[in-house]
Amino acid sequence: MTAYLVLAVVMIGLSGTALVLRRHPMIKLLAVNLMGIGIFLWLIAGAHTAQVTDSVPHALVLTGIVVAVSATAFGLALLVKQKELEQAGEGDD
Amino acid sequence: MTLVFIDYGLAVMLAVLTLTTLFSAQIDRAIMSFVGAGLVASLIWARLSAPDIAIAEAAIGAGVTGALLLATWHRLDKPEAPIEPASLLVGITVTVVILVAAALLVMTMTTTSGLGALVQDKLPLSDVGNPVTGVLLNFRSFDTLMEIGVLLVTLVAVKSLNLNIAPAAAAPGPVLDSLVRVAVPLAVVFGGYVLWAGADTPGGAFQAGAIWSGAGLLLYLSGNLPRLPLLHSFWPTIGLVTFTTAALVTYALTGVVLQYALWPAGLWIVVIEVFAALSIAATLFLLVVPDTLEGK
Repeated sequence: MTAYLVLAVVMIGLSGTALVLRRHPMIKLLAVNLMGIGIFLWLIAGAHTAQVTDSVPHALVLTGIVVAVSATAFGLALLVKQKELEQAGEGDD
Repeated sequence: MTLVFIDYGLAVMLAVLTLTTLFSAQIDRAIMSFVGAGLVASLIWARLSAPDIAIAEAAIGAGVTGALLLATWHRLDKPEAPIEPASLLVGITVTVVILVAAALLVMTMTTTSGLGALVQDKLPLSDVGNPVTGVLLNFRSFDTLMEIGVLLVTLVAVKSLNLNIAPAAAAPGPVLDSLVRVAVPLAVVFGGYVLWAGADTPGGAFQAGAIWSGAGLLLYLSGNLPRLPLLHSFWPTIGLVTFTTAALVTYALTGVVLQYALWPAGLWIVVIEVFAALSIAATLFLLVVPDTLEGK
């Protein structure tokens, strides 16, 4: 499954670039999520090379997906709050 | 070996969707590409013999995350400042460093058997047939207890910001209404099946919870949810309460946290999973849906 290991490297690299270059906070969140998928891919493609499929990385990635959605939800909530406060500030002027 | 071409095809598709997500000018287009990337990723998990992750990725990674993004993006749509030359330099440096580090990691990766053989060996002790469920709910159950805690903490953190996000419910129409009538009961039954089957085949509490929350979100976003379910602030806590109670009871019985005793381990796991799934469904649902549906 070399193709998937290469893909994992490409995804991590591209996401890192976008994380630095793109200014929109939504894109930064998407970049973190895609970097996560790249890392999951690396773990699972690595586990797949073994003779007996290793269930421990599978459990790890499952946990990772849930933590990723939690972090994304909190990040989005913070962004919306920031926008709300900005708009409230503009209203005061 | 036609199947190898499927792998290359999926890898290219995910790479292209990653590019269109990260470098498209419009945010809505980026979100669509991201949801697509999640779905292609779940096909890749299936190809890598990780069906548990495939279900979770489709339901949580693409589904719930997609719903969250779509519910909020229009409130965050603002023009993006142009890229400065200095940050372009930093970006290129970061890319090179990450690519070199990741390539080194992949190239120096040694092929070991990992813990796969050990888990397979000890699986009968866990009293379940699915090795991933065995790891999550028995061998490393303390980690899963903490993970349920992370979900609850996230919900508390999001709700404490006291946002008034109210994604506009779609206008009712014959197509949407009949989709809801078919999809919601199907999702409820399928979630229950995935939960029950998770002991021996791919599936489990996280996948079931995500599928149930999807059913709830579809009801809400299609305008078919007149009010929140009864005791809606109680359900997100029930998984952690059950799991912690199990930890305390097993500690009192055996002196080891989550060392299942007295009843078969399988019974403990089923009880914990049922309440964890209900809790996960409620938490993921309430992350998108506002606290009060008044004024609707």
